[in-house]
Amino acid sequence: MKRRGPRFALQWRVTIALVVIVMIPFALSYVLLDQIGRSAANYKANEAKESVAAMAKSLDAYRDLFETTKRLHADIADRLSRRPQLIALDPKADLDTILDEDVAVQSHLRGLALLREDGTVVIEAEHPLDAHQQARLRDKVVDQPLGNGGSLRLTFAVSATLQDEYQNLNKMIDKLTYSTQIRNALPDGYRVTFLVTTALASIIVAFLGIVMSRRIITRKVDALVATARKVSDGHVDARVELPGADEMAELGGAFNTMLDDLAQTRSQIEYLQRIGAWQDVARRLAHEIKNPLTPIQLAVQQTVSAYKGDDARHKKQLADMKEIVEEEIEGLRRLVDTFRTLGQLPKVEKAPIALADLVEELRLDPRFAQKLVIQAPPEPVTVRADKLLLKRVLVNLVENGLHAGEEAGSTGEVVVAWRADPRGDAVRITVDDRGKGVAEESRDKIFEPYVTTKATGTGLGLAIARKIAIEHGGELSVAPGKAPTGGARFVISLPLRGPDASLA
Amino acid sequence: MLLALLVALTARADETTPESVKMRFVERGSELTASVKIQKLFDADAYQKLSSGFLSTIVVNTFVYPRDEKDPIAARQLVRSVVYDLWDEDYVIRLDANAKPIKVKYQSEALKLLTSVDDMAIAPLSLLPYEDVFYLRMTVLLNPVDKKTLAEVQRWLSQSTGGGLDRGGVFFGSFVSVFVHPKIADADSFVELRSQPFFRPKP
Repeated sequence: MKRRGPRFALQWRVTIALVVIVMIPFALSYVLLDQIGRSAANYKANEAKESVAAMAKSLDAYRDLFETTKRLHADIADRLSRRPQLIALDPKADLDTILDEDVAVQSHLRGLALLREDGTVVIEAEHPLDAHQQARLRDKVVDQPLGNGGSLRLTFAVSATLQDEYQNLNKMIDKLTYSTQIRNALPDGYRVTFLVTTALASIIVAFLGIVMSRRIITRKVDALVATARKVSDGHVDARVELPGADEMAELGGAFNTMLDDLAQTRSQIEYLQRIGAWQDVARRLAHEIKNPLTPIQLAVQQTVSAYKGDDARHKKQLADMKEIVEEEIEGLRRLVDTFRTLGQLPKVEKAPIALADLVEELRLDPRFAQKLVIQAPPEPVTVRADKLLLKRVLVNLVENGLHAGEEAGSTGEVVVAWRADPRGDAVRITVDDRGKGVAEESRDKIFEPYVTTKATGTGLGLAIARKIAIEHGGELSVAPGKAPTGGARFVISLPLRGPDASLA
Repeated sequence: MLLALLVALTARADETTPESVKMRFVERGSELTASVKIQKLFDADAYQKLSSGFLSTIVVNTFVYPRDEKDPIAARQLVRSVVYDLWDEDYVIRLDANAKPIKVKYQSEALKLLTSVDDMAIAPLSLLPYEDVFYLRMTVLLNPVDKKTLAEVQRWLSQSTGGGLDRGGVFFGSFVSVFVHPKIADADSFVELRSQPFFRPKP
């Protein structure tokens, strides 16, 4: 078998095809997913952006509150520092009254102290915080210089939680911003995830593709190739076994049928070649033997008739000799006729023939009339065949059958039946006798020229019959085992379809 | 191979070669300590934010590696924080999670304290045999995303849209989170340093 160079294995092609088939919807889904992800992310990002902007404004408001409060404290400190009694560091200054002033109450000024330059306290006043206030307020101290070296210390109550609230708001903004970043990154994450899962799916599909294609196709193809190689290497009996009921199994069956047909054809060709050689020999022998027969016969007759004496003994000897020679010449003539028959088999000329009519004609032969049993099928079968040749085959088989039956001591009945196969591809004509049958080892040999089991046979009848069957595109064979009649069964197969079809 | 390529492509962009800096190593009791300056952690924005009144956190992670090896033999963490008190107008700094707060008036003072890692314990001496050569890798994060938020995001990603857990949703969400998280900055600022090789001389 001619082997080509590196090949691209079928299983890889199947695998690539599978992956491509899988990847196309994946690719479309990928684009779609990307767009959907981006749209959703954009929408949410804008929503979050607006929220962050609003919260950032709140942060500004917090900052303003701190600044405004501190400016207010500074302003109050400045105004109080202008009061003469305080500038004078008067120990009798009424600080409690100052703490009760509206501006002090509204600004949560709860403590005042006059300090000398060295930091010692001249006078101080304080409004203590109750328990509830202590939980939510803290002190904010402002030292205001008085210009004489002394200073005024103001203690304001401010919110203890304001900065915490401010920080919490900032944390929320950070969290929202982080979430937005995550959300914006999601489409990329989805994309990468999709790619990874797609890649994994593709790898799995490819792996399964390899396994499945190997299991379903390539292993079977390999088996076919191996069988084809065996056959090409001379192992003509090699056959492929493909399990299952799929197309590959059918292909294997067809492959085996083809090999069977090839083997049969080969066998038939060899057979025809052998027969052809025998035909050639037979033609020559017929020619060489036939020519001298008549002169020999005439010479003997003349020798016998030329004797005019009255020697009765000699006369009898001559008559016996003449009789013997004539008998032998007659025998040789029959042999020559048989040789001529083999050597000059006419060319097959097919025409539609109703098998029933053909077989029925056999009954007209007085030798067969009482001993022929015909089993015709319900449906008539018509074949394209050479009527004379096919009839010769049947006559030969029936004759052989009768003879075999007689040799076996039976009534010698022969049963002829035929039936088209269920698919209508071929017809099988069976000729069953009541003889002893054909031994297993002789089954193929009996079709060889000059092989006979009969004492008076030439051994050419079956050879000619098989040649005729083969030339009709069919075959003549002996069925294994015994026929229902107890003897041998000869089977003529004739095609009803195809180039060699016998069917009209 | 394709998977490895994808993972590599999505790997952290900031996984660069650490900057080599000179560090000072001193044995303090049973510990080896390291000192280094980490000013690079603060750019102009980060410096400005110190006075915002928001809490800033610095996380210093140290890893001691034997030379030519990839697995650390010791790892330590130091967490610092600073907040500007908007009422009192001073910086309240904690140089360690358990340390007493320090108050400073000026931003530059606060920066100096925060960026000076002084005598930070990095490994017990028992893990550092004499004459063996080691190096220190230090990662410093400014305002890292807190673990609670990370866990929350992970949970969001791992849950199906309905909020209920389903196997497919969890699997897909976990898968997505692998590729999403590395793209998000873990901190406002990140510095990675590598020390010079060092060893303990025999006394």
